[in-house]
Amino acid sequence: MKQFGLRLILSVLIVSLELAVAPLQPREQQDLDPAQGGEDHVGQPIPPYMTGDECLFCHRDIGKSWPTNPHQLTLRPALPDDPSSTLLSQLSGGDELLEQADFLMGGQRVARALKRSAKYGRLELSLARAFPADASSNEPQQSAKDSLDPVWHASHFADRCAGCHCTAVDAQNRAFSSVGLDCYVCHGVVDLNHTKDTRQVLLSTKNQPAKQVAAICGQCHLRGGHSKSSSLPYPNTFVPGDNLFRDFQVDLSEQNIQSMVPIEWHIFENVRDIVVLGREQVTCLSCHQVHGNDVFRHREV
Amino acid sequence: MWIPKWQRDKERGVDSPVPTQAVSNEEFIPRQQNAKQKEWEQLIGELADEKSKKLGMQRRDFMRSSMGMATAFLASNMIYGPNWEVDAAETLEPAATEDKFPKGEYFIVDVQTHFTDGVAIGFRNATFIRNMDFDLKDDADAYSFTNFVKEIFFDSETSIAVISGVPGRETNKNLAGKVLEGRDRRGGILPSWLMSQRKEELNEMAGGTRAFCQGNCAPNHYWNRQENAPDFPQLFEQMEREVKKYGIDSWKWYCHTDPGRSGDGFRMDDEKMAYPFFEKSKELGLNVFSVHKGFSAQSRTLGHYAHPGDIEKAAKDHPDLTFIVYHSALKHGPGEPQFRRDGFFDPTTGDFEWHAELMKIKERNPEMSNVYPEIGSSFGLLAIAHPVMCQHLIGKNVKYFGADHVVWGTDCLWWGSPQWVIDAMKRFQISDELCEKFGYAKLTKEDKAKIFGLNAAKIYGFDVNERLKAIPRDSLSDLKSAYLHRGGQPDNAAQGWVRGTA
Ligand code: HEC
Ligand code: HEC
Ligand code: HEC
Ligand code: HEC
Ligand code: HEC
Repeated sequence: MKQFGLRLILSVLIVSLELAVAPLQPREQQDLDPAQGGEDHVGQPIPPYMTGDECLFCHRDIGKSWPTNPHQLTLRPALPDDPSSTLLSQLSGGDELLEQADFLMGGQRVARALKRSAKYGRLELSLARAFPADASSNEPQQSAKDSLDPVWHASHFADRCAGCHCTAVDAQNRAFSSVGLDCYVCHGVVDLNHTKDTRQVLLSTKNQPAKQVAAICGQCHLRGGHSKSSSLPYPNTFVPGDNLFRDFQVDLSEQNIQSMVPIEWHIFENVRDIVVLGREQVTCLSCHQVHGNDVFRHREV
Repeated sequence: MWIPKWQRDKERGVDSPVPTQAVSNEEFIPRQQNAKQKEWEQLIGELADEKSKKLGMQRRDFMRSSMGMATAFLASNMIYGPNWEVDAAETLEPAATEDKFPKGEYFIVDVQTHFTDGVAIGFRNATFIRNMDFDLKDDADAYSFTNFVKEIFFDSETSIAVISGVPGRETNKNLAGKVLEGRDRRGGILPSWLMSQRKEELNEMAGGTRAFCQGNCAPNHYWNRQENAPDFPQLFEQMEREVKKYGIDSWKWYCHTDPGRSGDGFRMDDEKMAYPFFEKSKELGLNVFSVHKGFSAQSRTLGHYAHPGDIEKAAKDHPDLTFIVYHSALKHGPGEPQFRRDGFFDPTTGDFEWHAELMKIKERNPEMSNVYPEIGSSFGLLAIAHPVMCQHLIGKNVKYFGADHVVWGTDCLWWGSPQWVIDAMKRFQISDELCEKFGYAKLTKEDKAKIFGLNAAKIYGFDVNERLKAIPRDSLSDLKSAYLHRGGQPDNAAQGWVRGTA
């Protein structure tokens, strides 16, 4: 964590240096209203989209690293050699829990187990949590007694988690379209013609507009927000390319940002810079490479 | 005669007719060339230099001749041991090869061939392809139907091709409920409607059967979300369309994919999902099920559905259906990093992960005769990466399932013309040592003939003798002769005279 702080400060420094040598931008006089402009899909059905199986059929290079990508692994089959299995098996009743579990989450700071539901697009979440020994101090808000309760909860996941840990949730019935995160959550609806002109696919090298990047990554990484229309803690039918902030309310005030831990803080600040202050030079993608093996993009300075 | 596009980087002087490094098919990831493969490649170069000089030939022309191919296999024997049938004489004398392996000796049916719907898919430009010094054209044309005809039928000895499906499903109706037709049905890079259209075009052009096609429809493609179960009315409507309207000859299933957003893959022995499909298919008169098994590393969440374990019950419960197990259910291809890790294969037993379980299924059920291992990509890649494990693969397939149950496929044209895989099979043999130790049998010419085409002919139900007579005289053969006559060479042939694509 110490190292994280240092790297973060360094990278912020580097970026600000870059900005300093860049031609001076006129300072925005007035804060922008993030909810202005753009489109949304609130209340609409999930649009048809190409699934990852099809993308990966062609994109072998992505396929190589995808199985170990943290986004792909956020929900994964419950296998015995998973770090979350190890953690959960230490709880009393843990083995029984794992026997019933179909999926696992976490493992770094907290481990969770889920099982399939009879209903379409639903998972049942176990309220049991297991913390790694050295990380529990980072999660002071969670009490140890949670970890002794192996009950499967039918709607908890749909009501509180699905939108950020599964793909294309229909806000009406809170059912997701596929377990875990598929390419759609970031690249959206992709037309096959993008093979001829890569500008047709979001997040291609030629198509990374700052506002849309902030919205795409922000749909999940701006934690603590909620949808105005559905009141859920995740966006209502967000389709990459949309303006997230028309419906998703999140506190981007300086005061709120100041109160956060560095990880949350740098995300909120970056989004605030883009959508409120209109500074579009730096996005998540200036520093993060989603498909790289390394989270952090080593910048050439 | 070779894979024209597989021209090696001239500066490095590598122009082996056989790829000296595992080529990945669509389902797995290639590895870096290993030390032995490098050695092999270098040796091919040295031998080719020496021999072409002796003959006073351009090295390039030498490599394109049968002598070049023989040299590649000879070099492989020198590096890996005597795995391939090849005489030194063949490297200096084309007639020696013609004598031993006359062209047209086998009737070849390739059950795993693909092209795309007018899109480039980047395979021929992938890093690993470039690493191998291949200089393949990578535009939409390279993956087109036109190039398919050229590389499969003209640049190789293949007589009949089965156009094989890929993951994807058609959209039946638009939002207003109107039934869509043709291109409006979309369906991804190789939809059922397109496979069917091209099959008809080919057969019409040839004036006889040269192509079969598969249909992509599978039990989880149309989903009733209320009931969280297959939407059988929609599913059956699509099945009827694919059988009756498209005239498909087999289904192609990918149990580990979910294009219909059902939320899951499916098992072939699932009585609620797969069995109604089987029954409907029987009713429609279609009894052939081609199933992708193995090669599933990319799909972490659903990859376990590519395990062959579900075939046992499905096949036993449906003795009237035929199941072709693609890739012989090898869990990992030689191109994947796992290939040499995780005990994926065991040289002391010759077992591969997942494949061994397919073998056990047959061992447990000796009376089961409706399951056929297919060797697309598995055979060709092992031939390059690990000739001994390649002998185990074929040795076991034949030992357990019988030479009359192993089916030929190549996965081309993703990687160029299939001719080098064909040549490898012609020269393939299992060593005395392995036969003795593992109870494998030597592969006879009769066995090879079955594997190359006679088995597929039985499955797809056509008369080989009729085809053997008719094919040399059909219009596709005429075109091929004209092509060869005009000096048609894999890398520089004009393609304009093949019927244009829509
Ligand atoms: C607004 C989006 C959002 C919602 C809602 C949400 N999460 Fe997350 N969750 C994230 C993001 C983003 C991360 C990873 C970033 C991070 O670790 O800070 C994450 C990380 C996790 C992790 C990994 C922790 C570890 O040990 O690595 C677990 C477990 C988890 N969430 C469980 C849940 C559960 C259970 C719920 C519902 C009660 C939920 N999340 C709701 C966005 C969300
Ligand atoms: C969490 C968001 C996210 C998800 C999920 C995601 N991508 Fe990406 N993708 C990106 C970003 C951001 C970039 C831009 C380059 C980078 O940051 O790595 C990108 C770039 C790409 C590229 C072009 C760059 C390259 O390296 O070739 C391809 C191709 C691609 N993604 C395919 C996929 C496929 C296929 C999937 C699903 C299996 C997928 N992506 C899932 C965010 C995502
Ligand atoms: C038919 C094969 C095919 C399919 C299917 C496919 N792509 Fe692509 N994609 C390509 C090709 C070819 C290119 C352009 C060549 C390149 O730059 O890699 C490309 C380019 C891209 C790029 C931009 C790369 C860049 O230059 O930055 C992204 C991002 C991308 N694809 C994502 C996806 C996603 C996400 C999906 C699935 C929803 C998908 N692709 C499906 C073949 C395909
Ligand atoms: C649909 C929700 C979602 C979207 C969209 C999303 N993420 Fe994430 N992201 C997550 C979750 C969940 C995790 C945590 C995975 C885990 O540990 O279980 C995560 C983890 C990460 C991590 C840390 C994990 C690592 O080591 O790589 C980074 C960095 C990250 N995301 C960046 C991005 C960026 C940049 C974007 C925008 C291109 C983005 N994410 C879009 C949900 C999302
Ligand atoms: C100025 C560079 C910079 C920008 C801009 C930036 N990040 Fe980060 N981010 C970092 C660094 C550095 C780390 C620490 C990485 C580490 O410890 O390996 C980090 C960490 C993270 C993590 C936690 C990774 C982990 O291992 O748990 C997530 C999630 C994340 N960033 C998401 C985002 C998102 C989303 C955005 C855009 C809204 C963004 N970041 C913008 C530099 C940046």
